[in-house]
Amino acid sequence: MNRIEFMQQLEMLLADISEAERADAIKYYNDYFDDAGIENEAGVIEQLGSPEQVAQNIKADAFGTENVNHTYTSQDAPNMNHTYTNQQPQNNDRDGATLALVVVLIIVTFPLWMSLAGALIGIAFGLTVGGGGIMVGGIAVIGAAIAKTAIFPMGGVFLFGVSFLLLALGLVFIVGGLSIGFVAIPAIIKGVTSLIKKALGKKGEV
Amino acid sequence: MVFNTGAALLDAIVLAVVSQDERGTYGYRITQDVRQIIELSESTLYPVLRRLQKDGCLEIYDMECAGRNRRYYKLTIPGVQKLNMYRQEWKSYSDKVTTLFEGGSFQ
Repeated sequence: MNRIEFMQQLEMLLADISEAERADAIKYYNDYFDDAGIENEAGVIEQLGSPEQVAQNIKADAFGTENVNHTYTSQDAPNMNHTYTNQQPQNNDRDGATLALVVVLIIVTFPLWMSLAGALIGIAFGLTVGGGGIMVGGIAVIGAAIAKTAIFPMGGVFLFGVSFLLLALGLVFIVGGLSIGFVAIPAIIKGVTSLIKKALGKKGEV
Repeated sequence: MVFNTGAALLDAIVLAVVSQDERGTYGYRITQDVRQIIELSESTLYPVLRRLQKDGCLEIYDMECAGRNRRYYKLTIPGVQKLNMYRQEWKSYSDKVTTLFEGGSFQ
C-alpha cells in the first residue's frame, strides 16, 4: 500500500464522521506524510498500522473527553485500541447479568404463568366450542319448532324464539372465544416480549 | 518502560512538548518528540491533539512552509494554565514516589 491508497482508504473509513472532523484528520495525516518525507513513506505506513486502525483511533476519541479510564500502555502499542473501547465490554457484562436475572425469573415463575396461560387458552377454547354447541342446539330447536308449528302454532313460535336466542348466544361465545385466542393472547405475548427486551436494557442499541 | 502512561500524563507531555517552541509546532515533530519520552504508536497522537484542541488547550494555524501549508499547534492561555497545573501535580506526585523509593519518610 502506498501513501495515496492509505489516505483514500482512511478518507473512506471516516465517511461517517462530520465533514470538519474528517478534513482535520486528513490534513493532519497528509502533513504527517509530507513532513516524514518520501523516503520514510513506507516506514510511516508501517508505523501507523492499517487505515482501519487509524480510523478507529480517530473515532474512538469522538465519544467523549471525560472518559479518563483509558490508559496508554507504553509497552505495547496495539493495546491502545482495547483500552479505548473499554465501554462496550462493561455494557455486555451488565446485559449478561440482566439476561441471567430474567431467565431465572421466568423459570421461578414458571408454574404461575404456565397455569395462567393454560387457563386463558382453555377459556378461549371452551368459549368457542361451547358457542358451537349452543348453535348446534339452536339449529336442532329450529327443527323442533318447525315440527311443533304444524301441531301447536303458539308453541312453535315460542320454540323459534328460543332457537334464535340460542343461535345469538352461541355466536357471542364463538366471537368471544376466537377474539381471546387470536387477539388477546398474541397481544399479551407481544407485551411480555417487549417487557423482556426493555429489561435487557435496549440491547439493540448497543 | 514498565509504567503505563495515563491519559492525563499523556496530555501533560503533549502540552509540554508543544510549549517548547513559542511559535508552536507541527504533528510530525510532536510525535517524534513525544516518542523520545514514551513509547507511543504514531496513530495515537492525533486523537490526543484533537481532544486538547476541542478542550481549548491548543489552537491551530496553518503556515506556509516549503511551498505548502503546514498545520501548527500552539498552546492557548487555558492550555498554559493547564500545563502549569500538570507541572505542580507532577512535582508533588513524583516527589512523594521518589522519597518513598529512596527510603525517606513523609514529614
